[in-house]
Amino acid sequence: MGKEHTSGYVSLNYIVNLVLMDINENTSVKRKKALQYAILGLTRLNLYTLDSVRTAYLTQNDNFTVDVPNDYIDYTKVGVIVDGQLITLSLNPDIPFPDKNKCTPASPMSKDENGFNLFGSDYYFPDFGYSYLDYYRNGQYVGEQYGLGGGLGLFEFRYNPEDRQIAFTDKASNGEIILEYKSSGINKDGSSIIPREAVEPLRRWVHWQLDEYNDKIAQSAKTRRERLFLEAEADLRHFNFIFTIDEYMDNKYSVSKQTISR
Amino acid sequence: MSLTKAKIAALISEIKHGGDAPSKPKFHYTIIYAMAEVARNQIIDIAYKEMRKDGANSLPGEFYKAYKNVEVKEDCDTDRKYVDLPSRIITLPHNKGLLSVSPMKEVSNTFNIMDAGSDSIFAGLDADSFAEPEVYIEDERLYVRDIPVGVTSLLVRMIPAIDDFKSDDIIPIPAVLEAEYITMISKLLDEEKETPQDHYNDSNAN
Repeated sequence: MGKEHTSGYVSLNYIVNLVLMDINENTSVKRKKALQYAILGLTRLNLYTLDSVRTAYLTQNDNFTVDVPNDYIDYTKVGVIVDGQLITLSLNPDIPFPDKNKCTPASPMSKDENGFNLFGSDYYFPDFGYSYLDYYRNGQYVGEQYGLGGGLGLFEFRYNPEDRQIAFTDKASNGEIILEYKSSGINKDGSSIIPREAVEPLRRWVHWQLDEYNDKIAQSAKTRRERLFLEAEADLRHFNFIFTIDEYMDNKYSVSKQTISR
Repeated sequence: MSLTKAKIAALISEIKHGGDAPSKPKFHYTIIYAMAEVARNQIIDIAYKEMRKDGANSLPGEFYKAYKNVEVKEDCDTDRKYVDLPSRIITLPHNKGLLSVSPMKEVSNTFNIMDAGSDSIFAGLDADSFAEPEVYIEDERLYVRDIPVGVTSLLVRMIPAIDDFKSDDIIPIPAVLEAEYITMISKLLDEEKETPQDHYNDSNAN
């Protein structure tokens, strides 16, 4: 029998149970409150400290928009696939938002002089590549991808925060948009996963928040809790930015050369 | 010794009469039962305060009683599901009178214990969208929300008041507190023992 290891990831319930265990709370009276604080804490860590970028394949609506995922906070890249290659699209703040109740786009599709869809397999323009993060799709690992640069004014997008949609000027050839985005890390089905290194800051965050609004707890105790959290958060930030030996060697070799020693 | 109401009545009667009680004892058993309840509530209050003083958050398990297969019913007027409280519950701060509510075979999968009315506060917050089962006390019922599909009966663990206990039901109380409990009941009856009985039906108190 092989060695048993603990999981590299834990759930929100793990954090909540840990906090309840810390305070010897054996009933579920404080559970929901602690869960809410854990969610707020995880969102905070995902925003500022954790690397929480996800990739989603989104199908365009008839009015050329796509609905962003529930955990979407901000995009990092928006692209389409043409002939097996990713093309990153450009932001255009002047795109009108389509009427949400109508299926027609707000702006007409770009056509060339022959009436063909201007943005098709024959129209892509090599430009600067943008690297996409690795992700899984249908259980298959998808390694690093390179999107071709946009900025050509043919197929642009604009985020509509009110309707939580992204509007486009055109329809992708296969109707599918690739969105790489900053995630809140919260899945509504409770399946959010938390990396081990984030357990301690999150645990301290929930302790601090449970005490923070309790008038019976001394201010000194609250300040101490806050300090403990900030220390753990700083540790997590340090952990995320630490480089591997390979990264160190790559950097070292890139800036040094062998010369004759005199 | 497992204490029951009948045992307590016999013990107190013996103590107060200095041995075998006469056929018409001074203390009617219903009075002893009532005092047993008052004393137990006081013991629980003392234990709760000691628990808080020690920085603990849990009362000894011997105070609690488990009620099995409590049937889930539906309040059609308000579209809520509930179970009838199997006994009157001893209410303590932070809902400590209720230890847990869970499906019968999933004791570790307990429902969140909430304050009545708190659902409107959590409505719209992220924690509410997780739809974890929860329970709150209202009147003589335990209302449940987001109860798992197919669960028709629950396991309820709580501190019950003993007024509706039968005379041979074991009273949930830690063994180490039994002596203190009996002494307390005895003291509560001292006043009655020392005060001469009023044989005249008038408005004068003895």
